[in-house]
Amino acid sequence: MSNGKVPKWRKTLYEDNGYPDNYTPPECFLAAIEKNKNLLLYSLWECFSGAAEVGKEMSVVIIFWCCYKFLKTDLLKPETLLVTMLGLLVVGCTMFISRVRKVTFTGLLAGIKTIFLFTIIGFALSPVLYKLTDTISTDTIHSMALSSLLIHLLTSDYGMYAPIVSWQISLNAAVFSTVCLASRFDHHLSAFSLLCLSVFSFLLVPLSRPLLPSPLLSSLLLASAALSLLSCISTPQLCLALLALATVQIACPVMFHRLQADKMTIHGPWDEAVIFTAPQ
Amino acid sequence: MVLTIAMVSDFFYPNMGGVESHIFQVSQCLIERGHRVLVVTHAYGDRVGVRYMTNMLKVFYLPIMPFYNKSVLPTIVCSLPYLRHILLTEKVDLVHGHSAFSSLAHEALLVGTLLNLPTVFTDHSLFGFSDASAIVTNTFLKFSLANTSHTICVSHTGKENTVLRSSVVPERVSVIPNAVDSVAFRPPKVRRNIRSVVTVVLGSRLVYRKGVDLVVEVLPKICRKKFGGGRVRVDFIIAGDGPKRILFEEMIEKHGLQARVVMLGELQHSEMRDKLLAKGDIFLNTSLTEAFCMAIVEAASCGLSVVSTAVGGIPEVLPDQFIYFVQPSVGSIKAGLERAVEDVITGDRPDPWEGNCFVSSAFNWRNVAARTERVYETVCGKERQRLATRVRNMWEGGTVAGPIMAMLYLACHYFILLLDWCES
Repeated sequence: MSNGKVPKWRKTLYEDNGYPDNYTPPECFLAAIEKNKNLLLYSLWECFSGAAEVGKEMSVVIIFWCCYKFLKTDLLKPETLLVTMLGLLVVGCTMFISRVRKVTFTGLLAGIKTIFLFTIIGFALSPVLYKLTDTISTDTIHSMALSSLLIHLLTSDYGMYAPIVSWQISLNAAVFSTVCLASRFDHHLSAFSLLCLSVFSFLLVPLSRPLLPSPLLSSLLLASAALSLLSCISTPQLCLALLALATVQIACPVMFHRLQADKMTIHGPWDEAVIFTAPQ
Repeated sequence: MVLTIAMVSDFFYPNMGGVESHIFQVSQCLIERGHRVLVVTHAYGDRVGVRYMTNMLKVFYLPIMPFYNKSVLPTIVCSLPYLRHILLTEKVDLVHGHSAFSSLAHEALLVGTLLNLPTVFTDHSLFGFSDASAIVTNTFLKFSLANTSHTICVSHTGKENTVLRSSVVPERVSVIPNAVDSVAFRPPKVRRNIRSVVTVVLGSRLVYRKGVDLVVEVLPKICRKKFGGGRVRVDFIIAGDGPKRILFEEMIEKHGLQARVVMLGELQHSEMRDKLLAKGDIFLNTSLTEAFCMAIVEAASCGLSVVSTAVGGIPEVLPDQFIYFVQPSVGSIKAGLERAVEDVITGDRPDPWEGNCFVSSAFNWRNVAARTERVYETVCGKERQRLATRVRNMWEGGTVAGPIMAMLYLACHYFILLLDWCES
């Protein structure tokens, strides 16, 4: 007030304004509050694309499981699987070299040497591999394989940073599930082909992310392939897989997008200051 | 009106800190004004039972051990019998809890409202909103303050923060700042002569939230520069310990500043003035968040110029002639320090005793105690709420948590009735 009698209220602690201690003028109280500052909102397209990455990985796991079942029931011959994978590998490599990164001849030679080394060692050790978990009952094997595949899905890198993401754990979990499942085979070639399939689908397929057209299209293709393969095995599993994929790829992004409208963050002078790291 | 006041907190002597000295000083001033004060806290090692401090200040060290971060485990059933016994035997008129981090204080407020006593709570710190621990703490604070008669905060920013966290009505929150003993923190008798060295001092825990990372960057830049036409250099004295101390040691090694930067390590509060503040010309504070910051007031009381980041409640504490405000960035702190050093060299700053006079008139414990007494009188004069109203306040605190806390409150009420029956 400016009549000279009553002093104006000031936001200081060292002077006695003449106002009682519990008085704050309504226009000054919470005057510096800011709501929803620097809010990051995702469009529906971004939500679906993000979920498609997770759906892709789930479809790959389902295809892996189907191949294991086919190998077990002898519907799929190990030799066929190996030849298919080799073909896909060659195609993938040529696409990678032509589109993503130029590789020198020495680099290519080193790559071929690694593949050769891995194949030879894997083939030599596969008789040991399929005897490793032989004595454990099938139910335990299946539940161990399932839990490690779940861990693989949880710790995979889907393009976003989170403390739980660790490619080391996810790859190791996937290979562990392969070792568990390989013990159910009778012939070491089947075990070897399953191991190759596991390395192919859990190590090389994620690396091919830049090659694939768009996450939505590729996730749709992979999901349809996975579900069609699963329909040959059992119907309850097909229904469960369909439900899981639908929840992850459709229901979750829609819910996430809707709930963004409820976001409310409060900022003000009480916030911990953020250190500026601008160059001097 | 003579009152018997029970100050309850986890933080008290022999622990040293802002909350501890606040409780002790306010209790002493209230005793001087004629009231009877007792302090209730948890045991510190062997220190259990009843002790008497200066002027018959009775301190109850309850036999409960601290659990996490110097606070006890909030069991309620463990401390309720003790607190009820103390409050009834000593015929306490009012319960005053200190610090939101102290679970014993919250339990005492609960017991106080159950015994239908007026309750007051003082909040000494700022808190965030966004992480999981903040959400849980703020919910508990909301229930704790639902039935408290009055709340005191140490700054206006603190008041806004507390009101947002606990949804308390703003009229039930008073702002009473902390104070500093301006006799203990006085400028040195012989005024320091600035010939060739200006000393900058820093006294805080060396942790991230005190902004020490910024100091580590700024220090070598300032040490390299010459001031006052090239004849004056700047030296540093740093007191305090913490996880970031190693950064300072590394920086000193890297730039060879052993002669220019002195690390004193952890200092007792009683040694701060003689070993640190009396030897400096400028006090640097780079906290990233601070409700009140007693350190800068202690420095101003000793006559030092203050360079500080303008965060939290700091802009409300000192007027412009005693403080230089900077932003929490290396460039801004460097510019602020340079300005302060140049002003010290030219003598363009207030006399040290002017700072001491200002602090003794604006921030003194007797004034704080008088204002606190006014709060007590307001609170004691109000009509006591019925049990049904208090349970209703708890019930309305939340959709799921509200009914649970209301049930808990009623259960404690019946527990107290049981204890009353057992004792009769």
